[in-house]
Amino acid sequence: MRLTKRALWLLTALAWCGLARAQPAFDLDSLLARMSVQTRVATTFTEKKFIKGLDAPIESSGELGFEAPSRMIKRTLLPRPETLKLDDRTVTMERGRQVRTLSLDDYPELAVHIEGIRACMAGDRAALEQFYRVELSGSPTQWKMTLIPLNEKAAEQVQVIHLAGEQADIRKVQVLLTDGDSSIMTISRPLSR
Amino acid sequence: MMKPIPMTPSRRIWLARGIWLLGLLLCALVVWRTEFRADFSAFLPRHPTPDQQILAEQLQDGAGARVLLVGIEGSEPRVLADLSKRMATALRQDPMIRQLQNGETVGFEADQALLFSARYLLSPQVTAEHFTAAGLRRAIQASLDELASSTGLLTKDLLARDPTGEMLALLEQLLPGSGPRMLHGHWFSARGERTLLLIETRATGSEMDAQGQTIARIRAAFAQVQQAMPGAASARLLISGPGVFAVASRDTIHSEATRLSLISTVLILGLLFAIYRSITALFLGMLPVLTGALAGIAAVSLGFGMVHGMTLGFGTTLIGEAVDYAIYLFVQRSGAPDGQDFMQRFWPTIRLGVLTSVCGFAALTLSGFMGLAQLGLYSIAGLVSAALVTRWVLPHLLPRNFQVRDVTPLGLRLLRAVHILRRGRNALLALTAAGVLLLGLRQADLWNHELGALSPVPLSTQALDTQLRSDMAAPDVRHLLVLRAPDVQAALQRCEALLPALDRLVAAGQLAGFVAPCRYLPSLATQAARQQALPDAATLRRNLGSALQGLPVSTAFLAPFLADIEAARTRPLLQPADVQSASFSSALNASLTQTATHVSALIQLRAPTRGPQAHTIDIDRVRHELGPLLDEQTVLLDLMGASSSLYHQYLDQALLLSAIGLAAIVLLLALQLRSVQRVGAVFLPLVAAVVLVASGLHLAGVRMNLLHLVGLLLTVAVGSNYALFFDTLDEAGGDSSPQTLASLLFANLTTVTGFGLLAFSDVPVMKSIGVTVGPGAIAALLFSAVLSRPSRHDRPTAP
Repeated sequence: MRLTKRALWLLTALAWCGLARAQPAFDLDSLLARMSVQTRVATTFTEKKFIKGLDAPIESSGELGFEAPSRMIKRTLLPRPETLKLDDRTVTMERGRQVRTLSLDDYPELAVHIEGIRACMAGDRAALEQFYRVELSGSPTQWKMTLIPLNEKAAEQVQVIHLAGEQADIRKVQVLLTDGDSSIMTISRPLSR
Repeated sequence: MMKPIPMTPSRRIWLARGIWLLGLLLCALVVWRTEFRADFSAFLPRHPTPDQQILAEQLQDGAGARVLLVGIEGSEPRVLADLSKRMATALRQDPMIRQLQNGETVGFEADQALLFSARYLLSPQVTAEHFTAAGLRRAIQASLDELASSTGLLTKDLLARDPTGEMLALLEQLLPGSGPRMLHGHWFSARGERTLLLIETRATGSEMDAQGQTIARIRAAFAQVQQAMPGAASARLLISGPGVFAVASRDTIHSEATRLSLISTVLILGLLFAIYRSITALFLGMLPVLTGALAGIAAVSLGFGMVHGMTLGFGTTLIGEAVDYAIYLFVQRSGAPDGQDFMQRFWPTIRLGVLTSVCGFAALTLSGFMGLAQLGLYSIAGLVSAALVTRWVLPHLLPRNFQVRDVTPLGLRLLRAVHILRRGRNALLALTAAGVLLLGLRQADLWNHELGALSPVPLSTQALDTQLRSDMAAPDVRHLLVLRAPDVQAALQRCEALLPALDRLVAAGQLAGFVAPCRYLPSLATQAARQQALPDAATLRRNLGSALQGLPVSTAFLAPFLADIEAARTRPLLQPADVQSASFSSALNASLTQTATHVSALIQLRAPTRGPQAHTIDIDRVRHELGPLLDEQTVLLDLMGASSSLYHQYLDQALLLSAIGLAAIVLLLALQLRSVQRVGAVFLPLVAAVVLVASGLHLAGVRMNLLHLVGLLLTVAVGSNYALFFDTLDEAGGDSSPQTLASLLFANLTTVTGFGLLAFSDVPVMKSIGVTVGPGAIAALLFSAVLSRPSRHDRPTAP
């Protein structure tokens, strides 16, 4: 009886171990590897900014796309059309006739908002860890990533960025500012290609 | 009162000596007090049109003339960026430097604070309508949309104090559209091999000593920083800009003038010594030259109020020509100790030669191009005084037993050579005809039409400047609106009147933008009008109340806005001095130039960078849009057009003046020689020389400019001496022809040495004259010999 009980424990433990071994390992490398498989991603987004003193969140929506190796395009359609293109280290902002080009390295306070998403989609761990301290939790199907800015200037404004995803897709980006304001961007599943 | 005293020969000699010495003294006094310059002034017209006046002002004292472009290359980008940072830190403390930009955002926060506090005076959106309920609602809605944008979280803190978006509107208007590439936080060239700095000096463009000192400070700062930094040993500093040009060309002209004068003096002295074998003769031979040089400088100084360095550079050529007269005298005098032979037979020829040269140079003095006019006057005064000294003073200074080496054997050999040379007559005529044909066929490609061809700036310096400018990604400013007004405020108001039309041109895609001083600093009148448009607290609160209906913003949240408006209603207006510490003040200063009599404001027009109109401005469209706003005080200026039209004007004028000079020479010769045949005989070798030198230059790939043309005219002026001698040789029978031939050869050698050395100059203008007159003088002598008719004396022996 005692033996069977012990054997049962052992079996259970073994079963758990086997189960664990059967499941694919979940870590940052494997997640990024899966994300980098997608060379073209097209999604839509809605974003809400919660700013204290305002009675309602500020909403915007549009399209978010990625093209390997390192181009991200955020095209806001509402309330006012605007395109933000991140190509390697260069940011181009277009609003109507006005076009402004700047270097990501010179504007860490802007870079902190967009570099995390781009680096994930590109599967670029080096870029990610150059800019943020990264923590990952959850499972391959439901994961959460926490990004804490390393750059001093960026950290003055942004406290933390939470990414939430399913499989290889980012579904939610929450930015918490040091002053307590925040924004949440909800991203659709990739549109069928 | 004084009874006329009969002139005895010795009295006349002493009178001539007295006048000469007095003249020397006066000239020396004038030269002592002369201002020497080596700036752009030589290239400016003497009687400028309003457009050219503006161009001249900008070149000399405009803010563009204060800007230095600095590059550091030769090391890793990271090292270069670090050097740039350290150098900037050191130089920003330097009182000689007004502004330094290298891509760092130094002073950006101070700028923003200034703009923010004065936003209701600066923003063009501020009108009474802007603060009505409808206006406020529209503006606040736009600010909320701004929050929704990608950069919304970066600008959200502005909302409570600036819900109508004045600050962002201002930044958008004032921030430069594009700039050089950024690398490691600093400006770099497109390929990243060079870091770039833009320095505005406190010294104006015409304060050359101060410019020189500033440049030295920059070099010193670089050396210090480089030494303190490990791994930076290989880095190099490059500096360019109008200040560098001015200083470099002054230094180059100065050192070239000194060096060439020195070399040609040594060479010519050596040559003369070889001929004369007499120190006395050497010393006496230099008297006409020195007199000529002094008189030339004094004449230019009196005529123009200053002497340009370039004029001095040509001084070396005078040594070559003025020394000829003494050669003729000495060589002839050796044969006939009383000097009568020289007086009777050679002086008339020399006099005619001098007059011929004077005719040629006199045409130049009429030139609108000051450099040429100075050259003309300098040469006339120099040659005439050198000839007079040779005629009236020098013969009586020669010792009784004056003797130079007997050159008869050489002369006889030359005579034989001339006989042989004459066989080439037909060949030369055929060659000349071919040259005429070539020049006629290639007429379109003969001339260089670029103003740069006249630059005193060495070519390597010009190339560096072009490189750094393209690195800066700073498009050359070509089109400007220049406004003139009695004072700064009037200039700003004139500028403001143009803004609506310019904005329309930008909206239509005709312009990428424009840089206008009234954008940085509106006139006091405009600021006051904006201040008046601001509502009082009660009105604003009431309007805000209805404007905010249905918006997620409360009046309580906007309390800071209400306070700021109230403060703005009574704040002092922004004076020019208030913005001097801001980094955008360099743009403001660049566009406002204060002179003694007026203020001129510049509006730079930027060509669109893309689209169908990329890189070009449709000047007619701009003119049309501005229409009635343009008048004598508001001028649309095409800098490139103005400078190239200036050059064309010079070239056309020089061609005309050369023709006039040539006609004057023909007339003079015709009057003196009284024979069409003889005039033709004198002219034929000169024509051949000019044609073949021009053909030679063309075949060598040289595109001739204004200075080559002047060189050809000089060839005629100098060569006419030789041709005239051959002509008189023919007329007078050949007794002294060996000596004459020898002295002609010596004269020619000294002239070729004087002018020829210019061909080795690093200064383009000097080089052009040198490569033309050097070969031209040789050709003129050679061709005079080839085309000379056998003299009566040796005609029977001629083949």
